[in-house]
Amino acid sequence: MRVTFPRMGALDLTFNTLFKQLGAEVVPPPPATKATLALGVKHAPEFACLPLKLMLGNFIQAVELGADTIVMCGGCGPCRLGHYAQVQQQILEDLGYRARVVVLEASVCDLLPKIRHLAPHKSWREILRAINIAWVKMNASDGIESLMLKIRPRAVKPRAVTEIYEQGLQLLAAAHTVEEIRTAHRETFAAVKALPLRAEKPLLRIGIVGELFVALEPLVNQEIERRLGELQVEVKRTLYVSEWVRSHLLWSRQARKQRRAVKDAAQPYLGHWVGGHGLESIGRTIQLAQAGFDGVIQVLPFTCMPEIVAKSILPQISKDYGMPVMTLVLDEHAGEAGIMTRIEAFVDLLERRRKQEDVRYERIFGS
Amino acid sequence: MPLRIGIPRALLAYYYLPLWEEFFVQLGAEVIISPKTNKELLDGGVELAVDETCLPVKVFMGHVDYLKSRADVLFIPRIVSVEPQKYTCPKLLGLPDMVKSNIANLPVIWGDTVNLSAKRRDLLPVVYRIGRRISPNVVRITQAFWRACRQLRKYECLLRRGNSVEEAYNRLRHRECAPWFWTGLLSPGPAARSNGPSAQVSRPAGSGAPPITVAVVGHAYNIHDTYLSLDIISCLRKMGVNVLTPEMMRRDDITRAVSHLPKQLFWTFCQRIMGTACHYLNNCQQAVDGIINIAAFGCGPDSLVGEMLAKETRRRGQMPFMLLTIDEHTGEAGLLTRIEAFIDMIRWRRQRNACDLSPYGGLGSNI
Ligand code: SF4
Ligand code: SF4
Repeated sequence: MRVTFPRMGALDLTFNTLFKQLGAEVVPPPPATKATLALGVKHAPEFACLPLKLMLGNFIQAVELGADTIVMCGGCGPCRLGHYAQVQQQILEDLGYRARVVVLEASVCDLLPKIRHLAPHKSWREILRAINIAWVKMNASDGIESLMLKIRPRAVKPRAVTEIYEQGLQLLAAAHTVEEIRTAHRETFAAVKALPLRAEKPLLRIGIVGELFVALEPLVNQEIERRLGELQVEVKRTLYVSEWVRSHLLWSRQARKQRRAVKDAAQPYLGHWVGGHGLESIGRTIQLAQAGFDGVIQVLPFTCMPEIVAKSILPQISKDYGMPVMTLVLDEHAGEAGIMTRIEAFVDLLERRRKQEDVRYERIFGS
Repeated sequence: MPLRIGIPRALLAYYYLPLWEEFFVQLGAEVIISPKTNKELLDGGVELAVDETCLPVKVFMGHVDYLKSRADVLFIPRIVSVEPQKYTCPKLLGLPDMVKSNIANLPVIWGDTVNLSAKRRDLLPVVYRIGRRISPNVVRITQAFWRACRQLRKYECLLRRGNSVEEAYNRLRHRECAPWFWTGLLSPGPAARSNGPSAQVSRPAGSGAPPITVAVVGHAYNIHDTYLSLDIISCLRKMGVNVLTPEMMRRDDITRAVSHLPKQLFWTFCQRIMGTACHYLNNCQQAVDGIINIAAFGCGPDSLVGEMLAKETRRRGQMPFMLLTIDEHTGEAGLLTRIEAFIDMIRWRRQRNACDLSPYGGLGSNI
């Protein structure tokens, strides 16, 4: 059995570890490039959402490299994600690829037996150990990512931060035990902390909300976080896979509490979940506004249903809270230049607003 | 003065209007229904809604805009689910909220949540909550609801007998349905035959040959909206073609027809579309000569269902299939030409009576 899986940001580290530890042979999908996307776009339905297309491209490439089992996530609606696996399997079959798609539904009761099935020769003890290592790694990579977002705008050389980040990911990829992962994590943190920083000044703060996949996958979001960081903006991403696992699979009390808070914040504007991250987009935007952020960027794939609902509502929130919100609709045609221009214009707008506010503040309180 | 309740004639009203209208009328309210979609309504809706939404939601906004100054209350329920384990669509889940933030100066909105995904009984509390706003009398509410349900049953019965939504609604209003309804109960008509088609429409064909029958599958609010679909049903009938739609199907036929799918669709209405098409594919020789799938531009579920349908048809060979995507710019001429070409192709196939000819060589390809 040669296993492959969808690629999403730095998540492949986790999956790679998980399946390796489970004793399966892993064929990680090659890093997504324009060619991957083109492949997916060519074979997927025209108006399917971007994640489906890119994942399909991943799968085709991986199957060509010899994978015969695809592990894919499922869902029970109402968003399209729940039917991805079936559609993708059909497309692959029609293209003449022989690969089995194993669908993991988002519940522990479904997950464990399927994982067991993937690793027939392992004891439960070993399986749990594998899951634990993967989980620690996921947390480590998310931790490194969120540190990057903090440091990048403050570093004298933002590029150096990106380099350390990449090195850190490599270290993590090479780590196989919990201890090694912790060490890699510590080393990366130390390297980042050693970087020379600029003199402290108040930075612009922008939150990123929207659909998980496009928020994580640098190929489709054109590395928006790095670009913002290099423009000296502190970015707060509200979406992490580890968060999702914590609240949907582990039911951790803290994550549930957070989810409830998000829901309550969204209540006046959106009274019901709408699948995907629609409700989170609304709730988080409000929370960010209340926390005094300068702006919010919503990223969504073209035709994404839950995010379209959110997009319809966001202008109202922006008006009520006096915080600019920009929406980036990403699709396979989204050009790098266009997005860059829009990001720069948005940052400019926020800077101007901040200056005006400072002036107003001085006028009121004098100096 | 009685309370004026506005109901937009769009989206799920195509399925449930008789129920809602009868309920409110029985409770002594005045019901104002927006007119059939026309150019102004559509243009108004396109203006108000965000660009990325699907066409039917844009149209819905137009209807709401029309009603907002004419009614005291707008009835825009949040219909999450109408049967266990199934959902409608993320956009319908967020409908009242999208309306509130897209349209200014709205009257009161009754956006009650209807969620029957756990059990059907969950409808009753909603009914009483809504009813209580008009009349405190519980008996009266029960009676109104009972009558409304009866009305809905009659309506669905009329639909199953081959009426379009408009015809069924008009018949219902003019109380033409009573004899139909009862005869339906007394003698099992074509609708009750278990392995025959769920509905048969017999219309005089031009020549002596048996009339061509085409299944038009799509959301009722697309195919039965005479403006959006450019009245495809009458168009086809004028050509002497029998038209079958998902509304003319018995539910158990639908369930049976899709039982072979690896995963049941979790969108109620898409399940019906898929089921109708599969049902006719299963007994393709006797029942229909071709399938036309109407999808709205920007519709999320349709993008996947269309793909599944096309693949399903291709797999079974034989059946001519055409996908028509409608958007706000669909021109009458273009659509008509394509429909005519499709029907001509069917006629030609019949003449040649050539089952060995691939239906995909010519005009019937999945465009
Ligand atoms: S959240 Fe959006 S992008 Fe993701 S599956 Fe659903 S519709 Fe597609
Ligand atoms: S099912 Fe399609 S057409 Fe209907 S509301 Fe949802 S996206 Fe729009």
